Amino acid sequence: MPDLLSHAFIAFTLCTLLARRYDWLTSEYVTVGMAGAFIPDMAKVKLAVDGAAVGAALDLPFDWFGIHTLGGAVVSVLVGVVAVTREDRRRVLALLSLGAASHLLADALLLKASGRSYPLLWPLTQYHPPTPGLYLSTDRWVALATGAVAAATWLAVRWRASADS
Amino acid sequence: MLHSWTGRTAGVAVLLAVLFALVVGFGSLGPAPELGAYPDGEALAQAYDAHVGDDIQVTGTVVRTDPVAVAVEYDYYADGDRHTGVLELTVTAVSTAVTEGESLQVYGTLRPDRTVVAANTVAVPAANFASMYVVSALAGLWTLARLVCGWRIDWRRGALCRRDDPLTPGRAALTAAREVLD
Repeated sequence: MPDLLSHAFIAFTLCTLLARRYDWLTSEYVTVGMAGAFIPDMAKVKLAVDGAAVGAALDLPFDWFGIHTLGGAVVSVLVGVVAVTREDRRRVLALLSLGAASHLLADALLLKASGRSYPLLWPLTQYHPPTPGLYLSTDRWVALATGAVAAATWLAVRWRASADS
Repeated sequence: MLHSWTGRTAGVAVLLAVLFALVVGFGSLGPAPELGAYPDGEALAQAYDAHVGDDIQVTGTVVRTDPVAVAVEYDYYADGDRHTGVLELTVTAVSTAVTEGESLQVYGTLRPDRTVVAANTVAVPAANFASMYVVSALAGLWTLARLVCGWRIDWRRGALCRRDDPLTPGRAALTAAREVLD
C-alpha cells in the first residue's frame, strides 16, 4: 500500500473493532496488531542495504522482498511470538498475523501496469494474482481515507462503550 | 520451552536462519510470465536478447518525452559479480501524457534496439515519493510510542511484557529515558 500510515490505520481499525468483541483486547494489544502491519515493510531495509550488495558479500542470490511474502511474514510473526511471555503468546500470534495479513492484502490491490500484483503467497507459489488496481503506492488520499475510518471507528467504539457503562 | 533467555535466543536464531533462507530463495526466483512474474529491468540487463518478443514490466524515470524514454536502474548480483547500471528504453504507444522526472511503470512487448511497445503505463509524480516517506515515518513514531507506553522489556526473562499500568505519552518518554540509563 501507499504508505505505512495507511497500513497502521487499517490495523488500528480492525483491532479496535475486534476489541468490541474480545474484552482482553486492550489498547496494548491494538498496538501489537499495528506492529504486525509493519512486518512486510521490513523489506524496505533494502533502501539502506541493497540486496545486491548483500548478495555480492555472501556470494548468494538475495532479495529482501522475500520478507514481503506469506513465508517471510509467518517467520517474522513467530519472532514476535517468541519475544513475549507465555501468557501473551496466543494473543500476540493472532494480532501480529492479522496486522501482517492486512498489509499483504492491501498491497495486493495496488495498481500495476501489467494488472498483476506480487507473489504474496510465496513460497507456496510464485503466482501474481490479478490486482483491481485501486490505488498507487504514492496516493495521498489513501492515508486520508483510512485515517478518517480509523478516527470514526475509535470515536464510535468510545461512544458505545460510554453508553454501555 | 522458549521461556528463558537461552531458549528465546535459540528460538530467534533458528527463525532468523529460516528468514535468511527465504530471502535467498526469493532472490533466486527468475521470471515466470505464466504466473504473472514478467521479466523486469534486471532480467533485461542480464539477457536482453533472450526476452525480445516477451511481455515485460519495468519501472524507470522518464528522461525524454518525444519519443518517451525511461531510465531503468538495475542492481543485481549474478555469476560472481554485482552489476549496477541504467538501461535506457524507448517506449512507444504510450497513451497517457507523461512528464520528465516522473516514475513510469511500463507493461508491454520488448522489441530489439532497446524499445518497448507499451500495452499499459502507470505514472507517478516524483514529488509524491518524498511525502510518502515522511508519512511512513510518522506511522513508525506513532506505533513506537504506543509500544513504549503499553509494553516493557523484562530483562530477567528477556521478554516483552505488558505494563500493568500503561504509561501516558509524557510519562513514557521519561520512563524510556530512565530505562535506557539504568
